[in-house]
Amino acid sequence: MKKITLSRKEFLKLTGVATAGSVIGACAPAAVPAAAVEAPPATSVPAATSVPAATSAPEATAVSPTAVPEPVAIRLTIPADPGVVDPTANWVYEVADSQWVTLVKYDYVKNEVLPAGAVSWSVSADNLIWTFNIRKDWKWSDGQPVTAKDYEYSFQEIVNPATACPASWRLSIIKNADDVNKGDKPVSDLGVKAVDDYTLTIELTNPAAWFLSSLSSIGHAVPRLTREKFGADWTKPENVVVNGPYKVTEWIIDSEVTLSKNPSYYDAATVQIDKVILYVVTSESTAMAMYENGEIDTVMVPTTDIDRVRQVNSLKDQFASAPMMRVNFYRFYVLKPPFDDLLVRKAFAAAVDRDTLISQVTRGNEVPAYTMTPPGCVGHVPRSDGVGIPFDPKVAVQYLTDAGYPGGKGLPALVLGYNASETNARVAQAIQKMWKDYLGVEVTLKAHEGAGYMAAVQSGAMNIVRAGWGMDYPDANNTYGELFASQVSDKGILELPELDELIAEAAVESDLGKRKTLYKQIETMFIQDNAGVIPLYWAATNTVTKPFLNRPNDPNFLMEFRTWTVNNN
Amino acid sequence: MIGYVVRRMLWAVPVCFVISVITFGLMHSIPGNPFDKMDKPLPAQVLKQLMAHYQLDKPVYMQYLQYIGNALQGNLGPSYQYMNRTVNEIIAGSFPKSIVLGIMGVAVALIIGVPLGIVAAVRHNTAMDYLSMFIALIGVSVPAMTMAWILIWVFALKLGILPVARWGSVQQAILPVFTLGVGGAAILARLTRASLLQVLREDYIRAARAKGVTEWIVIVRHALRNALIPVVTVLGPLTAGMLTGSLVVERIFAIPGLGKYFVESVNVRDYPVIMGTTLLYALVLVAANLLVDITYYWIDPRIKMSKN
Repeated sequence: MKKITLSRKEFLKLTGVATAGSVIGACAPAAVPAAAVEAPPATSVPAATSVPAATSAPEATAVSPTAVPEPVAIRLTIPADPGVVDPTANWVYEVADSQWVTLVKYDYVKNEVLPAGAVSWSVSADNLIWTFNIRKDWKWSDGQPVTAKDYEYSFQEIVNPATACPASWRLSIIKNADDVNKGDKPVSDLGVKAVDDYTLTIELTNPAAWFLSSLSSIGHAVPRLTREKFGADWTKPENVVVNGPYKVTEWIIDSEVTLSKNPSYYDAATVQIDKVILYVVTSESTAMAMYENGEIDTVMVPTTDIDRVRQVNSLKDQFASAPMMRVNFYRFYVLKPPFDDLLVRKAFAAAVDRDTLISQVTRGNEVPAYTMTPPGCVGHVPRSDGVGIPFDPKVAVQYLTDAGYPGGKGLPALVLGYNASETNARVAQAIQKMWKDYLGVEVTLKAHEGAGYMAAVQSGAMNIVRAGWGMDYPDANNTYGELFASQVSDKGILELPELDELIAEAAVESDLGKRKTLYKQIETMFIQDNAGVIPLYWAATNTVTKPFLNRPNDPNFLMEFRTWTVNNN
Repeated sequence: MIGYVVRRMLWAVPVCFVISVITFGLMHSIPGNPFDKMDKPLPAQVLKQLMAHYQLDKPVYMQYLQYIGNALQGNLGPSYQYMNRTVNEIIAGSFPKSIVLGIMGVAVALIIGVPLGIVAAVRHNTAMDYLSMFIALIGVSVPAMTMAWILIWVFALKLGILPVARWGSVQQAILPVFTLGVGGAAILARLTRASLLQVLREDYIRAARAKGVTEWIVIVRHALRNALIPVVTVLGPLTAGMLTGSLVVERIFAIPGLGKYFVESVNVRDYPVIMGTTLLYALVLVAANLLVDITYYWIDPRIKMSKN
């Protein structure tokens, strides 16, 4: 569900990287793992998660206790009005994810699946039928109990063709989901069943080790009666019924959304922030200025401001940069010359200097990517394994010569396309220069505004195009199974039958060790041996946060306000 | 007079019809679709469902007929970008804010621009003239996005006396209104000056002075009235533009007005919003020009609103 959020944010905020912050003080990078480990149960240990103030010089930023208002309200910006927040009908953003609860949550730091709507689960011996025990004594905000039937209804609505949910394909692994979605079978045939009020079973078409963690971002329980009674208006503040940590209590379209703590949430006692006020501010620079003027409490730092923020005394201690689960990469259009030629692809891949790109252009804590799947995901291949095409200008020149284009002579005019944003443009300019310096090849840049981008990409009008992928769930199946397998891959992407076989095998394999081996083979085959795409970097979130607030690092896409805490020291 | 106004208003009908046909044709001929905005295209099945859901799978002329039929009944259709909102709701929610901002912007433009132009013309070729025109030159040449950030930097970040952004309070309105108004003020100042200078050379001004009319009365009663005709002419489209929202000002100051929908709807191929905003702009422009013509009549009795 992140794809749309990311690209929407990219289009609207003008620069690339998305949300979620970190508790890591910029001046204490060594504290990353320690602080990160402390972060998830943040509510219980507010002091451990060090807002920058903890690591900063004693002067200036020392927080007075009175800086914390009662009850705790925080203000921040979102780049666009949330629009449709029904999680069964649209991609899920913060406002939806804060109001309704999925079966499970995923801890991206400890890499484990946590209970949420379901307190426990089990899977049948053939790995096809999952059984979830739904939390008891948990109520909707209108006092009704939350039951397995609510989940059954929600899954049915996601695949129901009448809902036209753009994320419905994510549930195709569930029995009959595709047939229901095409309208060939009634929704009641979907392989999700409420056995009783507190037991839910989900039957799959194939075993899938990644299925459980994927439920952390899809399948939020929604209130059937309210939804049916009010139709499209059911999510309006006056009608909405929730079961999650927050409830929308005020919504001024295009202007602001207020989330207030929901006492009926099962874990309400641990939620510290009583009110989250989201201002709709499209311009990243405006949001940054609002932060500096004290109008909001935390903000994403625009790429263009990172250098300044790191230098200015009043801001540098409030800055944090942490990696997130998103890969940015360049795609080749392989259906026409010159990138139908493996040697040419390898030459261009070997001429990309990722370290310089990060230190000079993106400037945050981005991580150079030599493979696709980000760190923290099942199937991530550590850099120490040496998979991928490293930066080596000499080898790159040799590849190009071997391909019959010595010094780039004889190559047709090449176009590098990207969806218009400040960050994407700067990255493209840097790589354009690398290819010129190391290969002697001139590449023309072409920025695309808005919705024409994907159509232009598939038309083959551009030889190389920028792409990004935010992880929906922490598993390489999300990258390879849903991005590069031939049956789902986009036109122009390299297709390899033997890669498809490996991807299919890895998707249904249950043994973790075997899966890791398979994904290493897959990355080696696709990225290293065939140079199918050029992974560039795994993105980072760059934020500044007022000292009174702890904004835990969340490498996942959504900001989870329930885990944000207040600094009382 | 009333007949003239009614005739002019009836003319808006064919104008809007032609604009709607051209806009509809143009927007359907640009590549991409309203749901194509992700890093990876939607699966064909999902896209098909969405297209069918919004009846985008029908031939374009059918879609147009359906659209125009609904539009005539006042229903401008759903937004694809904001799936649970109609275009009527979007316009109803954002247009009033743009109108308020626009009216204040026009007021600032008039209050600053016209007196500046008068001073420059009356004190022709003096330091006052050069100063006024220098200010106007800056106003014309500094684009709104630069002006906005200079104002934010000075009044919010440095002096700390005004908020950076958002809409609702008087304080929040000052910077965007000034940003919006100052460009128009510069245009009006230059126009007022040029026009007034020309009028002041007319014989009837010399006659008035010869009769011993005070200079103040000469300027205000005799010269200015004629000199304002080109100013009023420009004021029509200027007002229409300001009322329907300024993308740059609204974006920088996070004002939930109509301006962003003009641009964003094209970027995301939100067809009904493109149509709705374009037609609204056409109507406002027609209305503004009508008001201009009526104002002519009021300023200059020589202008007749006859059938010819």
